[in-house]
Amino acid sequence: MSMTTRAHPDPERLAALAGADPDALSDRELIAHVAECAACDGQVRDLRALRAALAELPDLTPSRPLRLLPPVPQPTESAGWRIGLRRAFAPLAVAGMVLLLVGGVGATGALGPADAGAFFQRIQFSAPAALEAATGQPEESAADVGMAPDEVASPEGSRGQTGAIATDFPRAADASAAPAESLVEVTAGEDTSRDGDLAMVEDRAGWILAALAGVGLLALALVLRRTAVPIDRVSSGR
Amino acid sequence: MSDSDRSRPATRTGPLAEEAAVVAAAARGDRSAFTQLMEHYQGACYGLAWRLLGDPDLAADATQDAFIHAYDHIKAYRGGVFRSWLLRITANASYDILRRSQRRPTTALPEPEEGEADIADPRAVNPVAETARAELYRALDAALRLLPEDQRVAVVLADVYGMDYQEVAESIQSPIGTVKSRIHRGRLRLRVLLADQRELFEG
Repeated sequence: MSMTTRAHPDPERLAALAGADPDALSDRELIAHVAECAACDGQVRDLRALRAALAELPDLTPSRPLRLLPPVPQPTESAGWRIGLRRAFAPLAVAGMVLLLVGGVGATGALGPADAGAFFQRIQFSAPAALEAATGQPEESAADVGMAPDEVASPEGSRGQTGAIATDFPRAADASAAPAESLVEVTAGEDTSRDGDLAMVEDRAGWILAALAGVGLLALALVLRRTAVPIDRVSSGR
Repeated sequence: MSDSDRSRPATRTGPLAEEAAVVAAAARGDRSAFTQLMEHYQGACYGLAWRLLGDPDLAADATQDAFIHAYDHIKAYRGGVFRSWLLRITANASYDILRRSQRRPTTALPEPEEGEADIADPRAVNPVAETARAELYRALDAALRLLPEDQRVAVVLADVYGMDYQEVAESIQSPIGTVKSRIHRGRLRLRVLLADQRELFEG
């Protein structure tokens, strides 16, 4: 019995050699011993055969059908109506901003007549005047639409004077006349000034209401935005 | 262990045809491409999970966890063998379940019953050889289940699924020296457990 046979290496070193561990493969003493020792050589052969068999173990068929993909995120029922409400945010916000803008500008008088109704009527009645300016044929504009010139004019005046219709509108005329009256009344005392302010507010009530409606719509849109965000939008689970 | 637990495809799953293109499509969010990959590799992943956990339901859970993780992280896949990448994910998912459950399923060896052995495919070229091979696989799986958990996990990852020391160490979050020791001791113990069935290895 040789020295190498008596001094068997640690079995774990043999297992490492069987597994082609780089450290074991570079161990000359271990390699030399295995080459001379039939018992250790047999053990390494067994371990190599074992590894080869383990490497052949086949795949297995799952015991039950597996879900191969995570579920597609779906809105839960509770979140569905909240998402619907949330979608109303954009149109409400846009409508609110438009109303606020138009109402605000109108209330400051930048659009001309203080009264919203008068403003829209002026736009309507200015159309024939613009047509006349463009064509130079004052009578055709009315005739073309099948109306007598006096039908186009305002109820109270300027019959047949289509070109002057816009400036002859009674409310506008009243408004243009107002400064003169106000001048007289201001000198009469403060009460008349308050009446004038009140009258101005009444005249511009339409614009103010429009602006307030815009603010309301904006507020509603913001409330929807904050409260209707679906928290449990995604359904999880296997 | 029921027959369905041990039902096996004939061989190990190889790479999918044009796998790189399918993986690229899956990384772009193509769910059908991802499904194709998972269908192809589900046997490999389930087999690994089953051998690590020793329980069919837990193995199915681990495999599905691995698929979900793979779906979420496939954009981070940086090439290499896709099967190995997926198996590492499966190993991590299985080991997570193992640690959570703290199970020790190796106390009892399920004794083979009469007639329970895998039935060889009658269409096989050599039914006798196929039967012997099926018996070998069954003996190996039974012996693996008898290993202590730490050794079984290390041997399965290294010797059954071909991971190197570094990959095993990362999967089970242990030092490489510890991993080597577990693998070597596991091999030696398996040899002892299978000493009476050496004829199976010689066929």
